[in-house]
Amino acid sequence: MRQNEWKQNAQQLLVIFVTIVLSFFLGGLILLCARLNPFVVYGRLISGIFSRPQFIAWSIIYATPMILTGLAVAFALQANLFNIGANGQFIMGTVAAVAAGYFIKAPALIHIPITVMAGILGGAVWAAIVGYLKVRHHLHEVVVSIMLNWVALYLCNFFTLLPAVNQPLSETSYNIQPSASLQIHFLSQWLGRSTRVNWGIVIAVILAIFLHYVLHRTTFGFKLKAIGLNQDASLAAGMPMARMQFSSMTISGAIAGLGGAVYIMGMLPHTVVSSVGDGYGFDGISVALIGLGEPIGVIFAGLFYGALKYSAGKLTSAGTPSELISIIIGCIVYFIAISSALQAWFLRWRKKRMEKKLPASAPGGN
Amino acid sequence: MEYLSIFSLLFNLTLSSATPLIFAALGSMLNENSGVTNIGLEGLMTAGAWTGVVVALFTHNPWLAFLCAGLAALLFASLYALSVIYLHANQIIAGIAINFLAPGVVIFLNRLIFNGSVSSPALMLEYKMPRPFAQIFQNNPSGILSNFFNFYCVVYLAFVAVIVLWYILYRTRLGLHIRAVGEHPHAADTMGINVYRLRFSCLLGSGFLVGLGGASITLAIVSGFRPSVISGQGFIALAAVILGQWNPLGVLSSCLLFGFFRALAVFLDGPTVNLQVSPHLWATLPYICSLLVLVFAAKRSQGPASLGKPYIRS
Repeated sequence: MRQNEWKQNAQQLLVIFVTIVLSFFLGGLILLCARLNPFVVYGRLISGIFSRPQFIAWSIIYATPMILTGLAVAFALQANLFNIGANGQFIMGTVAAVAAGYFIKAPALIHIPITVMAGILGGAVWAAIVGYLKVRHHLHEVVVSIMLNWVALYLCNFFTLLPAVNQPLSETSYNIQPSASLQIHFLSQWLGRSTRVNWGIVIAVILAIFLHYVLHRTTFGFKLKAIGLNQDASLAAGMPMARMQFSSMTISGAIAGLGGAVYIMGMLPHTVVSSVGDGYGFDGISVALIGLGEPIGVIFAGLFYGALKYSAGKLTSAGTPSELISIIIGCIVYFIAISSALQAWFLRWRKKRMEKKLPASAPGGN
Repeated sequence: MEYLSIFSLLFNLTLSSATPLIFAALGSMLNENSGVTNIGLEGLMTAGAWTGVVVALFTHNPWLAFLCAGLAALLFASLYALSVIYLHANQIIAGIAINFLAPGVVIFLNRLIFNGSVSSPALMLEYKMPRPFAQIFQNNPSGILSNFFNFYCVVYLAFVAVIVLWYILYRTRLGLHIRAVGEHPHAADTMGINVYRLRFSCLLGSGFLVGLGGASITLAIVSGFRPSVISGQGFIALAAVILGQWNPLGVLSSCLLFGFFRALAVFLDGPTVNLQVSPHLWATLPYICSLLVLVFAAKRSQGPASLGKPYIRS
């Protein structure tokens, strides 16, 4: 049993690995079509991540919010709920964190937990709406959360421009108080002033381990996965379906909101007016899928994507569109979607080859 | 007179903002009737919107651009169809992939073509989709009658598309087959209908329509491409299909309703009303109203029975 599980995990890891290699290969083909040398571009991509300690630090900083939103999506995914609304919940988390971080004045020991809680609450409330509409009115969570993503985006813009928080003559809010910051200043001093090293990654990793424990070692996690695997059977077994769905959605939103708070407290200390609806929440969806919906997998997937995103940002100035990364990530998600069919094909192909080989080799063998 | 002028303005805004939704929702309705969901609508619209502008910029022929927009979206739709129908992919995950891939590819190309910018240059008026009755209203282009009748031709085309789809779905053998496949693919298969091929074609047709929807934004309503040009309209179209109960006339009316909310948001923010409320707050209105309407409509919601379930031929 145990061994079987290991084998399955190893197989899935192999699938992800092949998927990533294949996607980079396709990305390379696209680069060739654009008359860019893929080796040069990929070389620059990699050296943009590893060639300096500062770059590694930035990659981790970029990865942190993605790991958190990835955990949010992965958690809901375990209950077979698609939390496409992680972006809206993330945004509401940033709004709540800026409000708490700017208006409240307290020593860091109190201020930090309050700001974190505000972010969590912001995200949780936003996701609870989705959960409520799903459970009570049977609206599909995908449609509802997409709508709420846009509402959150515009509410954030509205908030940022309120006279009480708007930095005059700018499209940003005031910065949060230093007492609410999660930055690690001595590391930033060492790596370069502007590097925003923060405690967020520690929070993200601890949370991932905690969620791993909850999912695999507690009754709550067991129920959650049961609902995700087979709704009818869980209903027949008397599980409180509606309550479970509602709470897993809300918890997922709380995690995304935490991501928003950590982003504000560690990376960018204010909200900004924006018109584009893609952000860390959407990245979280692909991170969760690449991490196979498992909290521990999400850590690595988040680091992978975060590093790519950071390094790709520097590519644009060198003439390579940074959208290369969206294409590669899109390919990875696409391959993951079709992976079970491809695996089945591969197995059938291998079986056929074995069958062909066996009769042929039987007479020749001793 | 005052009220009439306000009404005409709202009417005009409603129809123009409903048009892309009508195209996209009709497309989505087509594939959902055959039993497949596609949340990649947003990405397909983006692909159409971009292709339309670029072809129009280079060929100066808006009609060719409109057609190419549909074909570009069809190309991405075929990728989606391949994965969900023949490779039994999870429809939501594959849709998410399309929402990454399509905008990724077009913005990538945009940067290559237009010197690293994510937006296209503005499209000149004479290369946009024509307004067929512009001659008549030449003297008073912003008058009441003009508001009522002087639209870009995409608006009329959207209504034509509604009628065509209604006819196909309810008056032809093909339409019957499509609905049968959406309700009970096994039974349809037994009857000798090729479920895979039919669903595949529905997704292609849908992709074409959705691409037209994207292009009707960039070739008519605004003039040029920028990454935020679709801003969730693909998903609103999805909601419109649910609200419209999967039939063309219902979809038309729900798109008009959503279009009206958008128009209202633009109108209330405009100089006529001047309520001193932040435009960002008004911008939430279409989304919140759509949600509220969905809540009330969902109770009697009845989609195709096999919607979203992959069909695996045994």
